[in-house]
Amino acid sequence: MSAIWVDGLFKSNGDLEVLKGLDLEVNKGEFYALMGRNGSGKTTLTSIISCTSPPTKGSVKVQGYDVVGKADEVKRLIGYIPQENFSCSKLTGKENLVYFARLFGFSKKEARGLAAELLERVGLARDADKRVVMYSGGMRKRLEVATALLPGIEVLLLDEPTTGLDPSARKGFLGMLRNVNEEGTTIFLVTHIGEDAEVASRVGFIEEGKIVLEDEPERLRDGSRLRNVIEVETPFKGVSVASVLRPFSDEGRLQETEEGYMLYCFEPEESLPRIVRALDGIGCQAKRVETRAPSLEDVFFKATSKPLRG
Amino acid sequence: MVLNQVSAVVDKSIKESVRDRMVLFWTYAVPLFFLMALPLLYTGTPAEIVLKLKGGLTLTMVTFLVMTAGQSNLPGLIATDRERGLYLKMASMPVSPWKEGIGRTLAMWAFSILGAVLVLIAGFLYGARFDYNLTEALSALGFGFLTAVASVGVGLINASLVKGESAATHTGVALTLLTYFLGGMAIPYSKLPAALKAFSRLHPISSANACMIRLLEGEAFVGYDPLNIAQVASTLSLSILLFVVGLASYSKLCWRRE
Repeated sequence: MSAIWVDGLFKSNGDLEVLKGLDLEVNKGEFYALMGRNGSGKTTLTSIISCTSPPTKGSVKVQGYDVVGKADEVKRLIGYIPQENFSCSKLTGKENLVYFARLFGFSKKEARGLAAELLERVGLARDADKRVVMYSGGMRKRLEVATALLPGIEVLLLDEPTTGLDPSARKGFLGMLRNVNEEGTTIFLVTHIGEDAEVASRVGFIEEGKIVLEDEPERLRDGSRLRNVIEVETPFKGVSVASVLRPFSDEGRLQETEEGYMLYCFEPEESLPRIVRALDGIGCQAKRVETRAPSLEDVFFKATSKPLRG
Repeated sequence: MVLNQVSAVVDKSIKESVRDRMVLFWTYAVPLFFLMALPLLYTGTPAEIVLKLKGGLTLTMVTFLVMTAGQSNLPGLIATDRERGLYLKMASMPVSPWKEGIGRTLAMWAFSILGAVLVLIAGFLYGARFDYNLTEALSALGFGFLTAVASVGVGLINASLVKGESAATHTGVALTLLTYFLGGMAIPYSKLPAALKAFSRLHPISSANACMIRLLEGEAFVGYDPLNIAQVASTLSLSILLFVVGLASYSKLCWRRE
C-alpha cells in the first residue's frame, strides 16, 4: 500500500485548471520532494492531500484512505505544515505543542509528556519555555514540524517550509527532516528550491498541473545528461550576449540569471576560453566565468525549459 | 476528546488574551477609567442618589467590558489566527470547527467574568450601592450572561465577515461604542429620541443591561420598565439567535480555505 496515491487528479479554481490529470505515488517511508515553479500546482496538490481543499475530479488516497470519503481517518494520519507560520507567537514552544497535541485528542497530561519529547526531538528542549515570538525563523519551523510528529501521524506534508530561512537554518532544518524520515515517517516535501530536494530519496517535477519527470536525484541528474554548468557574469545582458553564448550550450539552452547567464556544457575546459573570447568579440568582458556540477534546478530547467525560480 | 479540544482552545485563548497588553488595556482599563471618571459629572446630586448612580454605572461598565471582549477582542484574535494560517493547519487536523468555536466562546466568557469581577470590586470600593434580594441578583446575573452571549455572537459574525486583525478589532470597537452611545447606556433613556428608544429596547445587549440596572437599582435608574414579558422574550431570543448565527457563520466562513 502506498503512503500517498493520486490518480487522474483535476482541480479547477474558477476557470483556471490548476491540476490537469495528475498521477503520483509516494511509497511508505519514502522522502519525496515535489519541485515546481510558483503557480505550477504544488500547493494545490498539497491542500488536497491534506484535506483542506476538495478535488474537482480524480482520486487521492493516504495510507489507503480516500481524502474525500474518509477525511477523518486521513486527518489522523497526516501532519500538514502549510507555508505560513501557524504557531501562536504569544505562547511558549511547549505551550504550542501541548495545544496542538490536545487538539489532536491527547489529554493534558499526555500532551505535556509528548511536548517535552517532541521538543527534544526537534532540538528545541532548551527553548521550550521561551515564547515563540522570541524564536528565529528556523526554530519556529522546527517547532511547527514537531506539531506534525505526534503519535499516529505517519505522513508529513510540508509546503515550502524553508522559505525565508537563512542557509544555515535551512541546512539544519533539512537535516532534521532527514532524521525524521529515517525514523520511519513518510515525507512529502513541496519546494521551489533545488537544494531542499537534494535530501529526498525521490524527486518529482511538476509543471502546469502534471508531473513531468520523477526519479532519484542522482538518476535525474544522470538522465539529464548534464555534465557541467557554466555560470557567466556579464556587465550587461541582452539579445547580442545571449546569441553569442547560446551555441556553447547543450541544445542551445540558455538560462538568464540575476548576474548574467547559465549554460550547460559537456566539455567546459574547451569551451571556457572560447566563451571568453566570443564575449570579448562583442565588447562584453565577462566579469566571472565558472563551472560547477549540475543541481536539480538545472535538471528541472533542462526538463521543462523553464527556470525553477524567477 | 471533545473536552480535550475545547479546553485546549480555552487555555490557548485565555493565555493569548492576558498576555496582550493592548487587549488588557482596552478591555479592562478603559471601563475602569470611565467608572472612576464619569461620577465626577454628578456634582450637585444628593449623595444617596450618587451611590445608586455609581451602581448603575458599574453595571454599565461591566456590560461595556463584556461587549469589548466579545465584539472586538474575540474577532481580533480570530483574525490574527486567520492571517497566520492556523485555520489551514486546524482544517488538516481532526478538529471540528464548531467545537473550536465553543472553546473560543468559553475563553472569552471566562476573560469577561474576570474583568467583570474587577469592575464590580472597583465599583464597590468607589461607593456603588445596589438594592437587591437573592432572586433579583440571580436574575441580574442571567441578564449579564445574555450580554456575553449576544456580544460573542456579534463578535463571531464580525470575525466571519471582516478579515484582518486591525479591521476586525476596529469594527468591534465601533459596534461597542455605537451600542453604548445609541443604546441608552451613555445617555439617559428619557433623553433619547423615539427611534433610539426603540433601538435601545430591541438591542439585546442594551436591553439586558437595562434589565440588570432595573433589578439592582430600580426603574427610576433605567427610565422605563424593561422587565415586561415581550422585551425579556425578545432579549433572550435575539441573544441566542445572534450567538447561533455567529457560531454557524464562524464555522463556515473562518474555516474556509482563502
